[in-house]
Amino acid sequence: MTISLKAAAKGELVFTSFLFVVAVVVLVDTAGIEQSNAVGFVGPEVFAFMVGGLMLLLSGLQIFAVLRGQRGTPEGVEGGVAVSDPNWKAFGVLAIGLILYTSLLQILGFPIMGTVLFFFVSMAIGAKPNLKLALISALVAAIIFLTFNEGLRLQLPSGLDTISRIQNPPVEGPVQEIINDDGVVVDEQDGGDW
Amino acid sequence: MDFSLFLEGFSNSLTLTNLGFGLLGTILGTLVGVLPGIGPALAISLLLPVTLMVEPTAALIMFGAIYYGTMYGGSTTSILLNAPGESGSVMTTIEGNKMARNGRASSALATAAIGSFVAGAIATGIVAIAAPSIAWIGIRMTPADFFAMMVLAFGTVGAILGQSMVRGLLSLTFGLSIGLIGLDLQSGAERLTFGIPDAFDGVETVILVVSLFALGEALYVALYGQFGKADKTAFKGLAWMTKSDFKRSWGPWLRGTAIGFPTGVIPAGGSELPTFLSYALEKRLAKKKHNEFGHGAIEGVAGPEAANNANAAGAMVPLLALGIPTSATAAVMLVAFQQFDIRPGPLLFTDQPLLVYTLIASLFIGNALLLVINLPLVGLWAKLLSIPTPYLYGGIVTFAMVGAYVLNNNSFDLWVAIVIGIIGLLFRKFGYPVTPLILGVILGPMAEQQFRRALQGAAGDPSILVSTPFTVSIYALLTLVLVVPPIFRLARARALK
Repeated sequence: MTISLKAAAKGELVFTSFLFVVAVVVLVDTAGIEQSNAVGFVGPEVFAFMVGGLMLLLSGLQIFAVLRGQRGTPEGVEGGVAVSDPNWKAFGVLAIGLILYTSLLQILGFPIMGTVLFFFVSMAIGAKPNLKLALISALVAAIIFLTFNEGLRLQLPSGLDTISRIQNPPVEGPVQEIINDDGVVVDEQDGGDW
Repeated sequence: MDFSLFLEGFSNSLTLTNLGFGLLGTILGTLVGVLPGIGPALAISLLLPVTLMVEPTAALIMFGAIYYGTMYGGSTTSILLNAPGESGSVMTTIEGNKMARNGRASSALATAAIGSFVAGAIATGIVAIAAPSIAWIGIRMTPADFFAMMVLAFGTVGAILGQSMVRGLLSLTFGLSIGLIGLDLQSGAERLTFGIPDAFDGVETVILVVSLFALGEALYVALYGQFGKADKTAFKGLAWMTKSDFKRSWGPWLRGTAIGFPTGVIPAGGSELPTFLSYALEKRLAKKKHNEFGHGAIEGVAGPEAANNANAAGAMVPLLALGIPTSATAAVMLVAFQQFDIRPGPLLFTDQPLLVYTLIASLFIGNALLLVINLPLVGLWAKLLSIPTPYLYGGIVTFAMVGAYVLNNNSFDLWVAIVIGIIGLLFRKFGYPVTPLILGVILGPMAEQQFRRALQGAAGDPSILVSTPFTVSIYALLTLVLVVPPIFRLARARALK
């Protein structure tokens, strides 16, 4: 019991320190704003300094409070109970689902990635990963996809353009040689988002 | 109030198409609101993408319906599942779930529905009358006055919610920091963007709300949740109540409305305080005659439910007339309006009065549709509660990740959503309230604008911030607010014993 209590206190200390670091980042970033003389009496830094300063003060106070043993009560779980031992496996499954969805949505399309996401989330919360779950996932993804693309005319990626690109790849004859000379060119597309 | 405009607003809203959208909003709102784990703020954010393609008047009506629908859906969950979806439903749960266990679910659901309707109708009526006069005051308010009002909203929400004042205010400053992200509109300076072009526009509010609530909750439940046998009360049939139920309910409805409305108009930190006050009042009044409190008293459902709805309607007054949201739900409504280029505030009443009255009429219509739809259909909603929890979360997260994507068709937003989801998880784990954060993100940039305007007008002299009697009294009120909550907490702990 004491061990888990200590662990919880340590976790909260790390989180409170994170808030403190955020405050420092806000202040440092604000200090780095280039002054322009067009803004008049109050530039973009005044309010930001107030926010960062207040946050620095509060997180500092809170770090002391946590060190003195004042810890937060975790929120309850609707329809269940909150336990103190973390279930990292479930968390990992959910995280993988989210990351897969986010990185592959535009390539494979929503019908596939929506199915994957629903499957992983349900599995993380306790559904058995079997064919039934896979079918339900595909059904939910299909309904959402049709509702948005047909009913609301908001376009979710279908993944069809990727398929057609694979079936009719753009002529790449001369490119082959360029890649041999300069392999970095290929990576540029992935890095473009950042 | 200009009555002819009001009637015109009504006739504007009462077309077949608009009624259809109102109906759709009621059904969607109740449907999403019934699902456990989804409160009104999240429900509205989840449904926001659905309204993107609808024309403004229809969308307004849909929002009016969604607003009340989610609220009513939440009370169904509290009564049948013993799970308050949000702080405003905690008091309903106490007596409501006991009534359900004693086989009186039908009466509990009916008094919640009719009570919500009565409170909503009265309160919306007062909004129609009061909002224009408050907007009239709003036009005469200086930037310093506006800034003071916003600081008051920050202070009350930060101080009242959460386990300690420091936690609430920390959550608020964290939100204010997120609100800084992006290009400063006046000077074009980059703040907290770290050179990432995708961050120049700041964090999209819908993504923030959806990921804080939906992803944060799912991650938290995956990591720390454990589900045993569900504690559900089965329910079939209609929501209805007997004559004696009526007799016992109308007093609490009216008293609940009287408590809920004013506490919605002033920034009092949402519906926690009024529902508690209503519960405490009904409990005290009930002692004279038959006292069922603790065993499922209908007064304990009727009062807080009316207070909750009147509070939500009251929050429309500062939102519409001053452009200041005072609760997370109102803040999300503000974002919804902005999607349609509607800027709530005093100018809206002079520039587009018809739009204002159309909106108020929409609230009336949404409220009425809710009653018509839900009394017979509540059995159907109750069935939703038998969806297995994993599928529920699967659906919520998938829908949230769709919503986060379709706003800009951009994968960057999805990464942002995941990061904010993890922050939501940590907030839950360490007992930080998320509402102050949301209010900070949405209201922060507006507060900064007023702050700079005020100082600009005074050549940078900070004493302008306390230059009017209005500002001084607001800051005095704020001081009071920061002192009273500890006393309130103590009183509640004693009342619940």
